[in-house]
Amino acid sequence: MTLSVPAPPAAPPTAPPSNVVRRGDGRAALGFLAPSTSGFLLFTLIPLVGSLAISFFAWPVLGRRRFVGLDNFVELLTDPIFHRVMLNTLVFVVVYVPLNIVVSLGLALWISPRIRGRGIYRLLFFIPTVTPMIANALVWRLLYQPGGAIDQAFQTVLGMPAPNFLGDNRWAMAAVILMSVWQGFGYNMLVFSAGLDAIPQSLHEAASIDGAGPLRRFWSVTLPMLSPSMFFAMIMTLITSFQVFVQPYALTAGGPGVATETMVLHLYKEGFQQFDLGTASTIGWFLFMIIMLVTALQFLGQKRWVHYDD
Amino acid sequence: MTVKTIRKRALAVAAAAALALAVAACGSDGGGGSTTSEGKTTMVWNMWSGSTAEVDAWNHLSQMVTAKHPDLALDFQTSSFNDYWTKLAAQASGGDAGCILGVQSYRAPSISQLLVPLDDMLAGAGINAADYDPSIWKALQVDGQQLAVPYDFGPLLMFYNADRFREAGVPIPTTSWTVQDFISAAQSLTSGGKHGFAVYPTIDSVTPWSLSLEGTGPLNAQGELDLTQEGFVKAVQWYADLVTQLKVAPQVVATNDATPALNSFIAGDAAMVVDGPWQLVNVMDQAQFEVGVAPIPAGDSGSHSQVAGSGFGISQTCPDPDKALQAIAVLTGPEALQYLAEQGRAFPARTAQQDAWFSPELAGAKDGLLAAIKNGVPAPATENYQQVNQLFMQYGVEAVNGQQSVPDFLNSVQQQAG
Repeated sequence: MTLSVPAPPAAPPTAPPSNVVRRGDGRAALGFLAPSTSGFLLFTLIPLVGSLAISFFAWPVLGRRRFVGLDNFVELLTDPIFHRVMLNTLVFVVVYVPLNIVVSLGLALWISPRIRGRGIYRLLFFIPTVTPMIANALVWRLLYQPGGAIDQAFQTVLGMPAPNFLGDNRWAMAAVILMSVWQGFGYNMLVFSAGLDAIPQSLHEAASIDGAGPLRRFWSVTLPMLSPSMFFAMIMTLITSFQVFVQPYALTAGGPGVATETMVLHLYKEGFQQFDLGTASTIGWFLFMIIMLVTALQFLGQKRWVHYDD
Repeated sequence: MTVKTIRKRALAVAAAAALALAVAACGSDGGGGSTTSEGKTTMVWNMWSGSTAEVDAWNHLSQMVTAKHPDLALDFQTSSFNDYWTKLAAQASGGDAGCILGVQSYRAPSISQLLVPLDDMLAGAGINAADYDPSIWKALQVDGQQLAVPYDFGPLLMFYNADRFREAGVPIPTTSWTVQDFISAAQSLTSGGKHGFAVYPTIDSVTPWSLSLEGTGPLNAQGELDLTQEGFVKAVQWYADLVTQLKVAPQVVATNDATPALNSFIAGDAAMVVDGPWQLVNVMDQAQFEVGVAPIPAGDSGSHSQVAGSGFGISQTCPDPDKALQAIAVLTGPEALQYLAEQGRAFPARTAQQDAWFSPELAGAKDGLLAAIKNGVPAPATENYQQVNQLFMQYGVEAVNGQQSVPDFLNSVQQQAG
């Protein structure tokens, strides 16, 4: 396209700031917004509304579609398997998020002083985050499986076999969470590491002069100053862990039984293995509502503990 | 309206129009999977494949079609076996499936409404049922209608690690071996962290044992799923006991690996495994030992396995089914199956071409495979076989490891899928 774009009229340098909305810019703005807005409409808003519509239908991929009202919602709410799937997701979130925050914060604190090879540590800790999940899952399966590395270590040290981590319904979720923490802490660690670097050294020095020990300084200076980063990390980790899919899909495929089946994995199986798009869309909306609610609660709660330095 | 606003509006309209065009270009290029230009028809051929060598083989077949019918060309589109069914369903729901579709016998009932019944057209295309193995020909029928023409088939077989048998001084399995022979071999071969056998709780791998031990499969006489019938429950219990009681097979794990038992065999950890002849060329290629082939050992009801295989059908949306069947006649014709057999890719569904499969490297499989074919029965299939298979595998892990009782496991799968 060769269209000449008129330059925006330069404001007279002495003019006072005007808060009069100039009409006419709206259409040009619309033109410039069109690419991203259309993308949003096409790939986010319309599918979102579409999935809401589908959730009111019995919608097999093949065969006749039928309006069923709220049946899909009622069926899911009364389905013991879906209860288990929601519980699994909750367990994953409740165990994974604090573990992830503790590990990433701990490592960020460890490498925060200007120690030698700090960049190398950062890089090392970030590697799991950028390696492909499928490759991770393959390696972890070799560790976990009977006769695998962990099992062999057990045999040598304790003289007894290790639990069958991926075949035992009491261990499978723990195995998935452990792998997820290993895979996921790097990103938050970088966020915390940057947040720690941004805390002015003078605050620590002032606190030391006032007689605060290391623990007191951590509690009263570092943590409050880091709270915006922690809030961000917490929100993002919470949302992505509610949406957890790849880890159980690649490692255990949701099994044994439904011991590691999470909401998104269940959604995938309903939609693309059982070809029941109505139920799959309904699960999507359940998840959407849960995530909305939890995120809203976090935003409400942030006043109590997040300190913005302004 | 000033000149400036007109220009701005033009800009906005142009941007929107350009986007609309771009979006339209991304859209589908029309349904039906067939286009005709200058007297030449190009048809879309949807088929699964697992390796580039396999894709090359299929493309070679597609050239055979054009060589025989110069007015016909096939546009080969492929995905992995598991993705194939997802993609097919998605395309079909948009009226966009290809003209020629790969059909596996287990899954034929679940996609029967996508396919054109071929019975009245076969003779016109020169396809004669008598040329094919009757068990696979029948396995591609749904409600008595022929929905696809087979290209390959096979019963499940016992693969064994001949080196391990010789080292342990255990007699090599014969075509007349029994379940007792199997158990004592498995026990002798289990030691030092290695096992005699590898299991994975798929309904397909349990069925041959159920047929041989109890004379029953997972379906009842009416062809409905009946996992809780006495014989089948006993057979699954026997299968789980191999892990929990006899300990001749290792515990299983929940995994998204499609063939964990076979992989443990290839790695040399298990000395025997049950799988299909379509895997043999891959197994020979990867295993560092001599691979032997035997039929399923005979139980009280003899030695039996279900026969499964694949073929090609025509989608309901295909505008020219007669032309599509001409192409299928070539794809499943003697030359094409001879070619696939010589490559070791597919054990031919045409009886006359079967010898070509037993090339020097696969020659050792001949007795075992022929014995198994002789006693094969059509594969059990229900409309939701895919779902049954998935649930069986998912919940079976706990049953095989002894965390859940076998009757409870079968009850819960039956309830969810029945």
